[in-house]
Amino acid sequence: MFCHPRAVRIFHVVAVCLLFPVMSAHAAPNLPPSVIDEGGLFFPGEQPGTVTPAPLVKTEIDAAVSGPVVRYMLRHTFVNMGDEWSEAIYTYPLPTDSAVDHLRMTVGDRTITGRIEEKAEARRQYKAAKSSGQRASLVEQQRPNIFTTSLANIAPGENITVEIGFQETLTMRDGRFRLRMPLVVGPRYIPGAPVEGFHSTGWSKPTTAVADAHRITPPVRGEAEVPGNPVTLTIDLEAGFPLAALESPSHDIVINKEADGHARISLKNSVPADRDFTLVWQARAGTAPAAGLFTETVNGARYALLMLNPPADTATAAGTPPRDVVFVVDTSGSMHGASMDQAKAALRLALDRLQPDDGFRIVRFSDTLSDFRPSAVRVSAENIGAAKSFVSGLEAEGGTEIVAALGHALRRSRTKGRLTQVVLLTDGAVGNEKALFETIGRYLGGARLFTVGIGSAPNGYLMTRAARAGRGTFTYIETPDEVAGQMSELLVMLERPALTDVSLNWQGDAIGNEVWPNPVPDLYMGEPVQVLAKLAPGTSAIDIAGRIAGTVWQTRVPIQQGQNRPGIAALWARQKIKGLEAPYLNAEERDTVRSEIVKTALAFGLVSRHTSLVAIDTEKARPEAATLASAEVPTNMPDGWSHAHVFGGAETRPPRAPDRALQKTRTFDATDPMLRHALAGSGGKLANLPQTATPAPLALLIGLILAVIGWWSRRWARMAT
Amino acid sequence: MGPYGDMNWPTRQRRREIAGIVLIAAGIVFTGYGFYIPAKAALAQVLLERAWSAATPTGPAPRPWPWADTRPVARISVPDHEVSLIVLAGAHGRALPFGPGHVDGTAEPGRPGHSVVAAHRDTHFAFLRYLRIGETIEVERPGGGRIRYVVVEKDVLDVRKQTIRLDPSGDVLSLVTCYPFTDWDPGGPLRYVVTAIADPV
Repeated sequence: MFCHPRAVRIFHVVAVCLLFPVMSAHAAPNLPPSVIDEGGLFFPGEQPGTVTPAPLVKTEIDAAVSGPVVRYMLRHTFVNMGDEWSEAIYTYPLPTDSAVDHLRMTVGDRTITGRIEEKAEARRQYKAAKSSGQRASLVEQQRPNIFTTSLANIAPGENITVEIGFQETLTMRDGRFRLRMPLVVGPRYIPGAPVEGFHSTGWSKPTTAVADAHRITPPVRGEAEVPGNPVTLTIDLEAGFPLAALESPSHDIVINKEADGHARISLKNSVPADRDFTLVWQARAGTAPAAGLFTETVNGARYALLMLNPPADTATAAGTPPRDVVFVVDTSGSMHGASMDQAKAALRLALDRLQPDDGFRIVRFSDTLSDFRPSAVRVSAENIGAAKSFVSGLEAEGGTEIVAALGHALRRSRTKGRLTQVVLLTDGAVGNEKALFETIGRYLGGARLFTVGIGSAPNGYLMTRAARAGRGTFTYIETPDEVAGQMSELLVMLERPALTDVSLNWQGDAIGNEVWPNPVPDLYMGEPVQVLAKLAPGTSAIDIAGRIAGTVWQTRVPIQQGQNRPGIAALWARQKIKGLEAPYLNAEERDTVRSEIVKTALAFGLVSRHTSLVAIDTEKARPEAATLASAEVPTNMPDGWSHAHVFGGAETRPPRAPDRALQKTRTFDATDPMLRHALAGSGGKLANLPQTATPAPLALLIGLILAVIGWWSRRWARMAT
Repeated sequence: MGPYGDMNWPTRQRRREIAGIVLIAAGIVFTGYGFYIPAKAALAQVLLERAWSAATPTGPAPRPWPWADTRPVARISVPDHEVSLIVLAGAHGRALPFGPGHVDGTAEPGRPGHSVVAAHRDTHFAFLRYLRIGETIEVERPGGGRIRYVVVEKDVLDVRKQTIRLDPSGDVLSLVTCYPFTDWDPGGPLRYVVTAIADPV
């Protein structure tokens, strides 16, 4: 007897208890748990866990492009439409790895500039200011591309402008630059704002509420009535080379050419945007610079951004480099089942893609290891056929001696003049990670290690770090249907002639240059070398060397050629933080890295995972008697909102501009004090909304549970006799 | 001999056996009910389609079945999602199992004004989840006449605090269903609202 009778009785009781209360239970509204995908302005609601969207008036973006560096000023202006003092929380997207280093809050005629603090300290200061009635704002990083601004003590009816400044570098590919600015502050949020209804009543004449309303009411027919959050965007483009093409695939733009290679771009109109803004410019043939060096001196230290295009003809002439591909496949017991099938599928795909000049090996390992052939063999129909049947015969069982296997694969892979690419397919279910990294470090030589994570729970830390130590990449295949896509991407990359072994040598009496990324990764065709460095005093030139298909390529860039650009230092610091913020770290490393990140971020005034910008007005604005709308509410981030679900993906087509303004249709009822007065003027009729879900899914669920319990109970009754 | 004499009470095993059978039977009833709801929703639309084709521009559409206490008022179709639904008068419990219901007191779908149509999230309006901004909704009035609406907003609101405020001057269509789409609880307070405005062609 495996089960006590009482257990059965308890089951019956539970079944009955489950049934009936569930039918009448009224679940609390759980907003879908999700990541913060996109932004929106929210007021913390009256109940903990709820948020009340608030109006966002307009977004202004001014960008200055100077060569590969873009400096952005992003301003959000919004209004507290309620009759109580409020705190607002605003989440918005920025280009990935933007270096945010500037915050300025403008309330009426007061301007408050932000300063950088450690995250916890910034929060503490903000909270203190909030409860003492001072106006305060706080800018925090949620993700490298998602930021949050909190604002406390906004007076009823007050205008607030929050300006943040940030920069990013753009990468030139084949003479072409592409700037992407996520613009999700479009109709997808404003529609998300129930109080939006007051836009049309309160702000029907935006010119009275917003100082430079001419920018949001462009002289296009009907456009002045376009509802919601208008975005204006201007770009000052100094390409640094004559332009062959300049266009926005995403939006209608107006281009004013100032000079050759210099243009001012603005959005043709301020129709709310609902997708990323993209601007593409292309150098006139032959005019794209092969190298670019930009420097900035901050506090006596010199920082440099170096971009360099390896000569395209070298790469083209080289064609696919002669190479040996070594497949190392984990056939340990943990790979049994779906993981093994995925690994086999990935291997077959890879074998089919090999070129006639390629050599290949296959090493399988568990607690033993065996080779397909003792050394690399050339690709031939016969060899590939034999290899495939070798792959088909693989069976998963035994331990995971990954260190020995990788050592074996790396040691016996050298062939002079040929590039060795090791592809490791494993779920990484091992604990001796350190030994593995040491082995890679010792035997890698000129080879490259690409890790492919298989199965539902591969050891991501191991694989990412192993790939980094092996100067390759990590590919993750989670489900069988991802095999083809993910593997092709990897294999195509491996076929491209890469600029490898990129090394930088500093001329002059320079020691201690700090370069990021470090080491410089291999580059595949069309990619430029792009590094940021803190130059030691006395550095006079940079020698860059690398190999393309066995040919050494090198060039020298004198430092004094560098053009001065503000923002390089901040970009260097951001790149350093990114380099430090490896996604997979163990606990002890994390502490060291954390303090290093904090140190760098504080020194350069950058918002990071551990630092925030905070601006606090010295003056107390809110009278003691007045309450803050969110006073008792913990400052809840809108984590619970999945904009992806609610508002659709970024690829949604833009709404067609209506001939007349859509009067917003949703509102809170009059019980919400914050909105009472705004509602008073609207006079709209309210619709009664019915219950709109059937109990069908619930009935199915209950039915199945009952049937299973009943079946189990009978089965048990029989077993007892 | 126990206090109840010779009476032959079922053994424990027997009782469990019976309990099991009862539970299985209850399970079958619930499961059947779970399948019956969507089946009814789908079948009703077939019958409604017939009543709809009998409608004329002048008279109202006939009742779809003799004992029906509602009648078709419009047809909503979304070509991008291969959806075609007959809308019934009244968004109440007697209409909603069979089709989307037109909320009383709002403009009739396809007529000038603000019209609100509600339907169940797990049957007729399950597709709202996939409707995207910029997509077209076509509304057909009884006996012909067609208006195109363009989706401009999607939103979630909480009926305990919020509702739809009717736009008295615009030609607006609001489609409402329960939210979240994958909740077990049929009585939740959240509503998903798709707002579309008439596309002047």
